[in-house]
Amino acid sequence: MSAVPLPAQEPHSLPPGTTHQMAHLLRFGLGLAVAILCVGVLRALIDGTGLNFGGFDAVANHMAFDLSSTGSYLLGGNGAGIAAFGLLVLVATPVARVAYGVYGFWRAKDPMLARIAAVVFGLLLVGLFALGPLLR
Amino acid sequence: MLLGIELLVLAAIAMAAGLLGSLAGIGGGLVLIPILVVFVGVPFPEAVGASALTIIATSTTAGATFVEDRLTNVRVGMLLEIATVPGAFAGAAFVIYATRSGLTSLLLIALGVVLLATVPGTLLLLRGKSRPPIEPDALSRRLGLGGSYFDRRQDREIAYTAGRTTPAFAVMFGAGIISGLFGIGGGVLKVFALDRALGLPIKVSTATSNFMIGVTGAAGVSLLIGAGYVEPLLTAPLVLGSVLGSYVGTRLLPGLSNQSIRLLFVPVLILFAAELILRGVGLP
Repeated sequence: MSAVPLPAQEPHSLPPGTTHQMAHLLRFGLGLAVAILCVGVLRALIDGTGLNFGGFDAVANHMAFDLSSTGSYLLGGNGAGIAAFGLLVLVATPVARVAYGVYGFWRAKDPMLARIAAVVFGLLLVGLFALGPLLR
Repeated sequence: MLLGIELLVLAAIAMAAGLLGSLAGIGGGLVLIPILVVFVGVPFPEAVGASALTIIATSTTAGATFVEDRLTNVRVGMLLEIATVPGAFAGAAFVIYATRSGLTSLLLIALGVVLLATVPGTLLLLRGKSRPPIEPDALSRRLGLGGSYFDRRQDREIAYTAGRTTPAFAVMFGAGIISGLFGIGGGVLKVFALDRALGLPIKVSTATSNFMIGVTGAAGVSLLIGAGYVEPLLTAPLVLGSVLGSYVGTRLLPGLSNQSIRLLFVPVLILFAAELILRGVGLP
């Protein structure tokens, strides 16, 4: 097997500080989501309201949530509303990681990878704000 | 209080799935979704949404560590997310369509088949054989997709190239569909693409696959949230339980052999697959 030359471009062009910050962002997002979910579950336990163990049909039980209803759901202060907010923080964590990737590659003067990350970020926003509500 | 018991049961199920998944090196979703659908009676789309959210959570912790350790090839991950995200949209959209069209039995059969197909792939990937480098294609060269990582066992920096991007894109799109359809990470397929098409070292493939799982899961679940198929009080204890299970699995039990746990895991997958297929075709 002949030796394969390494690419001319320096790999892993994200500066170490940027990758550390990306890792911190992921940990912070997960930690925040877990904390909010704990509060939501505890609140539901205290209130004694919520789950219908025999039929987990979110639509039929009116337990489903979406981006537009989460604000009022959360302000209601019930366990389900707080848990819904925690789940949105959880979904937002990898999305924020992609957004940070756009910034990181742009800062590392790697416009091609910054554009690729921006495309992924745009696709995720389309899913969250356009495709999802369209399927309601 | 009934609600408290329900929440605890859900958290315990997810914790067991997370523990088993992390010990076996396989996403907990493969275990969680059949349990939710078959034994707990959760409707298929709600189970997919809940499972996708648990894999976002469990992949994030390990993902952060791999990024910090430079095991993850961030450039490859970002590039291939262009394929996994639309794939996840397609998978999740099909779940919504099939549910509303009364085709849930089709989804059960498909999940059973995917579980069966995972078995040989899982066993093959665990060998972790090193392979000769694959000649980088034009896109790989242009984007500088090769990389290097520090191998602690060998105590040296290991450089590698990244080979064929086109087949990697195709397999990643398929992995995205699987992830969107069933709320699983699709890690076996992702590692397959990174290993076989790009020729990345197995450690880099595993870390990069993990890096992509959160974004792929977020893409699929965003459609299910929008369509109203995520129930917060079902999902919250599952996420908390799976995070705890995966933490215990990765931190407290490092001495166990992955290979033997995987061998125990295989009959469980086969049993779940058989049950799903039987239910799908209408047999008790």
